[in-house]
Amino acid sequence: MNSILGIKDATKRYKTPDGGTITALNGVSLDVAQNEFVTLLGPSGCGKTTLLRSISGFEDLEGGSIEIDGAAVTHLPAHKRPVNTVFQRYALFPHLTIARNVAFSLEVAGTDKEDTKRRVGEMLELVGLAGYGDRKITQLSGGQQQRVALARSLVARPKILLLDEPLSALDKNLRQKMQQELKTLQEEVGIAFVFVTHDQEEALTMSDRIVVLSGGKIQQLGAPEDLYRRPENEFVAGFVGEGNLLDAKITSVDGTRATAVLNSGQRTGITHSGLAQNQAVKLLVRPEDVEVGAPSNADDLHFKGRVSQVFFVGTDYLVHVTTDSGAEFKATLRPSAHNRTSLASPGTEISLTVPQSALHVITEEKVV
Amino acid sequence: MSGLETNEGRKKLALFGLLTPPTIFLGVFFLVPLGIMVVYSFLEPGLYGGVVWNFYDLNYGRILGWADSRYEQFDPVYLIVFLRSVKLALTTVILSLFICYPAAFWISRMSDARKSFFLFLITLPFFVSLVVRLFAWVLILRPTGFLNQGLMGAGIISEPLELMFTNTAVVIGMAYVFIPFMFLPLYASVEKLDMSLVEASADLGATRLQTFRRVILPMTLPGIIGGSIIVFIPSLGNFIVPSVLGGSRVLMIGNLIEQQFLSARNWPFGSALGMLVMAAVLVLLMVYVRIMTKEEEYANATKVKEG
Ligand SMILES: Nc1ncnc2c1ncn2[C@@H]1O[C@H](COP(=O)(O)OP(=O)(O)OP(=O)(O)O)[C@@H](O)[C@H]1O
Ligand SMILES: [Mg+2]
Repeated sequence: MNSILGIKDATKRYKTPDGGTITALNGVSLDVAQNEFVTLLGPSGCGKTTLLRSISGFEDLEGGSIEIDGAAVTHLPAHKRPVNTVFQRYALFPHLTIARNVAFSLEVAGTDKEDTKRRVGEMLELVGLAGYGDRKITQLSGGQQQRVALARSLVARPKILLLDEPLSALDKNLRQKMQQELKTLQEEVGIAFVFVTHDQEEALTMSDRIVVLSGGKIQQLGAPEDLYRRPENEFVAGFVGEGNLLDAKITSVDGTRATAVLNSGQRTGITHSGLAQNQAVKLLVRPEDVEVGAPSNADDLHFKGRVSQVFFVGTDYLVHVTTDSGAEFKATLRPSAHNRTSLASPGTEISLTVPQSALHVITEEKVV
Repeated sequence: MSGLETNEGRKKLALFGLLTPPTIFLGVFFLVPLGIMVVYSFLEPGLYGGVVWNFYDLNYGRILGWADSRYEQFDPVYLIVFLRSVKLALTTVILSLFICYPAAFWISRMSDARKSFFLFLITLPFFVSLVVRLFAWVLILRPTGFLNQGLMGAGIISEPLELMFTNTAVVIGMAYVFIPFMFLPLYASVEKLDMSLVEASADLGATRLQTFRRVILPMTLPGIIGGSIIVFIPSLGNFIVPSVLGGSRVLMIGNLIEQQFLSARNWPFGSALGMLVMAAVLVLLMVYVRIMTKEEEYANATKVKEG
């Protein structure tokens, strides 16, 4: 793997007005490969913007180091770093035309006029704004401004493009369209993108890898599927996707095979290394893995309850079920199979099966 | 008639009622005297003050170069004084700009409480009479004043500097008086400056100087122009500051006008000199309006977008 960005142990603290300190970054280490699309995902205040601004050079780290393409840039001022940023509110220059906005980085670098003109034209073409060069920024829609911002930060071919929630100001339809365009664009230009979002769906659809941050720490770093299927801790399990977390206790261990007993008294066999007798664990079940009806296999879990709430989410129904033992349980019902829509109304008695294979064991607590 | 019943009609009536008094006030107390000045500037001065109702273009001739030696003498001194006034007013604009521009940035970055405190400080001089404040400058600048004594005490100079009754003293005085007028429009545009644009510029590789020239300066230009005009106009016609700090040695066009009206009692000639100042100001305002209309178009376009 050819690493274009290397962050080691990045640490940053802010002073609060009342004299205390906030740790915005707490020992963050991250490597980004050339051509990679990496997303920083996390709740508000987890340090995503701080990490991005440390890479672009607008925040000085207290500890740790940053390398870009093998060169240390930890204390280099922003204008000397070979990275560009797409800002959340675009920050386009209102006194310049679209072409001059896009040309900005080339002009300050002293690129010759002909070359600048040609590259600006190519860039505008790439983002689908050919012929818009002479317009004013204010004559563009939000989505078009977004594209100008992209063109402006890509024209000088930075080694890394940083994007701080660039789609959050767009409405949902446009956002989905831009997500796809952005992904295509990234593949076309072959520049590493570090993309910030607090929208987990956006992160899952666009990224090669996702960094889940919370409290200034990396909670997990992995491909979207890893994060979704194999979250390493409770925080990631809860933050990425819908899920049910069941408390369980390990009763016996045999190599990587173990038996867990749930609060409800049900037993099930699980496969996980490093488990110990009497260890408390959580079992993650995604709603779409839940089946309707009684189990056919002895190791499957069985819940009976009553539908409390129904959410229609496009093709499926997400139902909340209150089990007979009083717990909340989420399950996805697909209308197509067996006409299950009849179950999708509050108050209906329902019987649910969780196949043993759908259980994912989480041993770590939430890390803060 | 039925229009008055509607909301629209009532609004119009209210607007009319509200606008009438100021309109009449301005009409009577601004346009009428101005009209009198324009008319007088084309009349013949009477022998013992007053005017003779004859068309007479030699008031302007005396200033601009055509004269009939039987009546009036062309004297370049008026143009010289006028040009000196332009020069001093421009210097005042530049000096106050250099003081206010950094100050505006500095204050705009403060916490809200400190901000309002400093903004209050800037308006504080208005609470003290202008003449008193100018005589305070006499105490500072005269040969035995604080400045000279301080510099001599510190051993920097051995003889008092000639500061009183110089162009320097007049410019210092005018800059001092008009700094609030420069500061407020400048501050308004600096405060509005979106710092994310400055960051974007640095992000795109611009050095601090490039960022200043390519982003900060153009974005704050309306404030710079506005402040400069608001300072330039009263500086150009000022007569209080030059009479207190310039004495008889630094004469400005305002002093000439004052003399013509009050001492020489030559109202037509005083009016003609006044028209000269007016013309300069009008040209300036026309340029300003042109620039601002462009700016407004941009602002309106932005508003539509955000709405
Ligand atoms: N300039 C600053 N001064 C003081 N505290 C700051 C500053 N910038 C950020 N913080 C604090 O650092 C923490 C991380 O902030 P950061 O902006 O990186 O969060 P974020 O993940 O980008 O959040 P969001 O999703 O809301 O944008 C927060 O607790 C924030 O309050
Ligand atoms: Mg942020």
